Formats: sequence, C-alpha cells, structure tokens
Amino acid sequence: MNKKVLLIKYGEISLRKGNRALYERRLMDAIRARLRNFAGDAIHVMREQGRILVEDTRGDIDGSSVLPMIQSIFGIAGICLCVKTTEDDLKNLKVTALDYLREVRPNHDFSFKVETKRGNKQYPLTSNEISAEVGGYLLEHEPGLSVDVHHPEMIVWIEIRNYCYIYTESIRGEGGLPYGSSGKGMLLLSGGIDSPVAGYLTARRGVEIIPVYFHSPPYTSDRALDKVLDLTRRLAAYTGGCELWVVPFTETQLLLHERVRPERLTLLLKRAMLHIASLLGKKEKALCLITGDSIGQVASQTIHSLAAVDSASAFPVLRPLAAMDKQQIINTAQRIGTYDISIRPYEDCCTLFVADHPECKPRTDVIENIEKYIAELPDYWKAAADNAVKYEIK
Amino acid sequence: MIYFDNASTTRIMESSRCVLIDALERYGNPSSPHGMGVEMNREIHEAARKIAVKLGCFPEEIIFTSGATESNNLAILGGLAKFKRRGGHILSTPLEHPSVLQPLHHLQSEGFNVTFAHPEEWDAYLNDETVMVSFSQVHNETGDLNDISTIAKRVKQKNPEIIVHVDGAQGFCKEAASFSCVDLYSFSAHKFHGPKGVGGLMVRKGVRIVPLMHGGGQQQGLRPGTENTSGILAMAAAAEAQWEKQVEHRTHVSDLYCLLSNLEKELPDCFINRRSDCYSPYILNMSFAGVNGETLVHTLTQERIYISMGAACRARKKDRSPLYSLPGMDDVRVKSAIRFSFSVENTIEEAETVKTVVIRCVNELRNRHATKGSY
Repeated sequence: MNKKVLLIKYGEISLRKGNRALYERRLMDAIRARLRNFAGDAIHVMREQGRILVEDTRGDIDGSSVLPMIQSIFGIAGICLCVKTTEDDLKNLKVTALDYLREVRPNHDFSFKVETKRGNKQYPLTSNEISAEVGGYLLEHEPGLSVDVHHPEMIVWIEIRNYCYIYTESIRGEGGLPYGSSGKGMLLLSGGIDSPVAGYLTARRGVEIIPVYFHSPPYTSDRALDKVLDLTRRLAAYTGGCELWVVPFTETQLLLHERVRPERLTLLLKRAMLHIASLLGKKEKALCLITGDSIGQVASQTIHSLAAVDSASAFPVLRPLAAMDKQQIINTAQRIGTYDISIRPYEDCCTLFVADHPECKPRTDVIENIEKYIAELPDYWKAAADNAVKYEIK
Repeated sequence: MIYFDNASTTRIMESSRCVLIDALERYGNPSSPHGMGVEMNREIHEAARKIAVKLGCFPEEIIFTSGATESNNLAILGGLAKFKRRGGHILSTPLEHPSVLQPLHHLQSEGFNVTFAHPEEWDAYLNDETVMVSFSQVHNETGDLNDISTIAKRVKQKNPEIIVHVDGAQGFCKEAASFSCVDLYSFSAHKFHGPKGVGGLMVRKGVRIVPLMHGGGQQQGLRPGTENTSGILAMAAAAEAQWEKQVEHRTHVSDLYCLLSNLEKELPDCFINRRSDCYSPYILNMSFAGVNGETLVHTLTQERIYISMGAACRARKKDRSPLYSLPGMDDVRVKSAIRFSFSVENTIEEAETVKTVVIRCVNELRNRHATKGSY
C-alpha cells in the first residue's frame, strides 16, 4: 500500500550517541506540539531508523499545510515529502517510483539518477543494485529521460528502512539542535535589531531562551514594551513559546545617572542589567546569559568594554553576534522576521542616557570599583528582579 | 483621568451617540429603490442640509467621506486631476497637516510647482499659473488661526478661477468664519464630538473634482460606496449641537487656554509655540526646555493626564515637523514640545490640576537631568 508521508532528516543529533534518544524525543515532541491544533491525534510522529516519520492516519499527508507548521522547528535538517510503500519487493519499488516521478514531474525530458540508502541491511539487494534496477526501469518506461550520474537535474531517492520511501526533493529545515536540549539561557532583549538575532541563533543551538527586557517608564513608552512583546512572539514562532521577564529599571537607571559620570554611565547600566538578569537566571536555573554584542559596533561593545562588564554576570555570557558585521545581522533579522519590528521608532532605555563621548577603553578595575562605592546598588538590583513581571508568550 | 488631547480626537457627545445607536436600527441602503432605502436617503439629505446651512452652501454640495484625510486627498488630488497634463502652480503654507502636505508632495513629483508660504506673503507668489491654494483654518499642532474669508477673498480677487481649498478639521464648529469664497472645505466628525470614521467635503458647484474611487455612483459619482449612514446622522447631530453654542464654548475654552499659558510665566525656559497672535484657544503648544517632550507625555500619563507631543513623530528628515518654520524654533524646542488641546467638556478645575502637576513634573525631570554623576 502506498501513502504520502513526511520524512524528517535531523543533522547533528545523529552524532550525539548516548543522548541521541533524548534529542529525538525532544524533536518528536516539538513536531507533535506544532501539529496538535491542526490534526489532533490523527498525525503520528515516530522514529524510523535515523529519520522521523510524520504520517497522517487518515490517508495522504497534506504536505502544503503541514510543511509551514514544522519548517521552523530547530533540529530539523531537511523535510522530504515522500511516498511510503509497505511492499518492499523490487517490482513494487519500480512501479511506485515510476508513478511518483510521473506525478511530480509530468514533463519527462530531464536527466536523473537514482540514489538508494539502506537502513535495513537485511534487504536482499545492495544499494547500487537497487539504484541500477529502478533506474533502468524508469528509463525503459519514460523515453524522454536520460541518466547523468555526475550532474543530474533530478535525483530520485529511495530509502529502505522499516518501510520504503521514495522522494525527489528535500526541503531545507532550520538546522541546529532540538530546542531546550542544551539548557536554559537568559536573553537580554532590548528591542533593537541585534538582540533578537542573538536569541534566534542561540535558540537554534538548543538553548531554551528566556528573554529579559528592561523597562524604564516614563523614559521608555508602552509602545516600546509592545515592540518587545511582538519580537518575543516572533521568536516564539521558532521556539514554540517563550516566557518574557519585564524588569522595572527606572530607579536603578536614575540612581546610576545621579552618581556616575556620563562617559561611564552606559557601562554601569549594562553591568546592572547583567546583575539583574543573573538574579532572574538563578530563579530560572539558567546556565548562561546571552547578549547581542557585536565587537566594536558601539562604544560599549569594544573588547575593553565587554571585559569591564563581564564580571557582573554570575554565568558565562554568550555573544553569538561577536564576529558578525551589521549587514550580516540585518540579513538574518530580515530572514527571521524581526527586522521590521525592531526598526519601529520607539526608544529603549539604552538610547536615552547615552553620553556625547562615552568611554571606549575603560579599565575593568575602575568600573568595578565604582560599582562598589555605590553601596545601595545591590538593593536596587534585587528590588528590580523581585518586581519583575513574567509574560507567557505563545 | 484628565483628557487634554482633543485635537487628536474628542469624546462623542451624548446626543450624537444616541443618534448613532438609534440609526443602526434603520439600516436601509440609501441607494435601494424600496421604502427603507428611500427613507434613509431622505435622512442623509437632511443631514447634508443641516451641515450645508452652516457652510452657506447647498445640501448637494456636501460630499460625505471617511474623514478629513480622505476629504483633503479628494480636494487636492481630485481637484487638480484635470491639470495633470499641463501642470500648474499650487500655493500652500508650511503649517499644514500631513494629509495636505503628502498629496502636495506627490503632485510635486508629478510636475506641479508647489510653494509653501504663509498667507500674508501670498501676494508675491500668486501668479497666472496658480491653479489652487490650500490652507488650514486652524493648524493642528500650534493652533495658529487663518482668517478664511479675508484670505479666500484676496485670492479670488486676484483670479476667480483659482480653486480655494480649506482644511477645516480643527476649525469647524469651533471658529466662526465666512465661507463665501471657499470652493472646497474639509471637516471630520470626531474633532467636534461626533463619531470616528466619518467626515465631509464641501464641493461648490462649478468646481470639477475627479473622484479618487470608482464604483456604484453614489454621491454624484464623486465618492462611490454605500454611505456610513449612522455616522453621517450622528455627525449632523454633533454639528448642530456644537455650532449653536460655538461662541459660548470658545469663551470657556479661552479661560482654560489662559490658565495653562501662564505656565510661561511660572516656569523658566518655557515657550509657547505659535506663529502669531491670531490663534485658536483650543490648541496650546508649549516647550519646556531641557525636558524631552515624549518623556513628559509619559510622565503625565502616569498621573492619568493625557496630552500629546507638540511635534508628531516623523521618520524621514525631509518630513521635518512644520514647527521648525516658526520663528525661534530649534532642535531643543521642537524635541521638548508638547500639546494641550481642549474641549468644551474640560473644566477649570482640570486645568488647574494639570498646571500644578506639569510644574511639579517639569521641575522634577529638569532636576534629575541637571545633576551629573561624579564617579
């Protein structure tokens, strides 16, 4: 019996040996969660010898509806819309391949080759033998076809696993590792172009991101907060949901503004944010902080400046954009759909207190000492973390 | 809650709201041939008559639209469509709403020659090529008031063929005027305690407008589409109520204006932003130097006082705020500009409260930013 199904290829997970089953399970759960609203329990997701099979129990799977729903899941390297056949004898393979080819490419004047993969090593023929037999059959029945084993216009893939699968196209997935498989990280989300991209790249490597936004009314407006909510929603389209912390930052900001020279203020503010995010990180059992710093982009992102703020974090600080150019960051932001949201013109707290000539090469010990002189600071950080509000974003 | 942002929109008044809700029950389409349609058509015509009487025109010279933005576009783009091939000169002012400035910029890119000058300078610019003048009765940011009758008359004396368009969104039912030499006049219900989503354009007979939309031929083909019947009736009801008491309302609002404009004397580095002494008391634009306008707006929001920024947010440099055209305006004053705009529903007590709170907030914000850290 033949049926249209999806075969999911996953990349690095296959290298994970002992943890492989865990990763596979996370990936399958993510796929099931995305498809639950669409088809309830009708769609089955199961392991299939190094692949994941997505099958509609009611019949052929509706590829055009299902594909967009799962394409953004991290951990998927490729998605193939295949025909699955339960009869694995060679004759049936040949006939199925021919029918499938006729359906996907009605115009038959092209070059092709057949590639076979056997997950099931018990199969009586070798992969090359299967390819040759099926290839020969296709040539015989479609005169317009020609074989080109070096640069074919189309490859007909055959995979022999618990069942047999035939497909001609593999649609690229987001790649990366299953979401949440690498632990949790607190993402410092500002509403600018960079931090959402940093969040996306880290989430793609399996880190469950928990965004933290520093809200400073009346210096920042509710529209700036709305912008950050929208950015979190955009990221949630990839992660399947997020929890956003909104931290009341005005008091801390004003205290620092009162005591610290304008040229150093941004650094002390950034340290405060790392302190507060660390306090929240401890609550969340996070393992890292994530920022959108890119080396040299602004004064607070020179290596001297990054060094001067790092000790404020209780966790390692990941900076996935460190070596990226602004244009590369913008390209990614456009691709993932955060750019248009980020460029809405509502100030975040970073921009309103910027000095005309901020320090670019601060001394770490000087900055750390300033923080110690302002004895009340730890109380302010704690109050900010205690009064932070959590939003569930789907 | 104190609402001092009436130039942005006003609360729908009780009588208008009742008419709106009541009219939803009479849902005939004015174009239908049967009794329900005919009856609704009569009511719409009666609404047009009520408004026409105030403007000194015929009911059929009132075209109902979705609001002043649509009316301004219809007036300018529709009014000048016949000159598209040969081009021409248009005279307007630097103090106009974007729904006038944007269509004019568009026409500039199509080859029209547009001059932006204040009306007292117009004699130097009016010439044989001038096909239209467009100016606002009251400017929405500063409250500057133009004397419609004098300006329109002068233009017509120079050349009676020049089309005179006035944007009356902030002036209708608030500022007395004579419309005898005005050819096109825009107005919007939600600025005078009517509902949002409905407005109109007076189009004098003899002025040829090319419609912006094409469809079922309603409103003499000038603005096809089924009319917003309940909105129109509610708008006419609001216009009746407001027009009747224009003078009384203006007197009351002037008191509010005076009270708040005293901030100029009570706070240092405080300026009133307007061009001349001819102004509408419904709008007061002020700058408190050293205080970011948006920050002050948010601070007052925290006190449940709602006002607006004095210079609307503009993304591109070439769309700089018209405030820059005022004498003495610089970046500091523009960035710190805020706008109070009043309605007859505001009270003296509210104005006194706002004044006290503004003084406190401005002082607080100024003090915060005056101290610079020493570490």
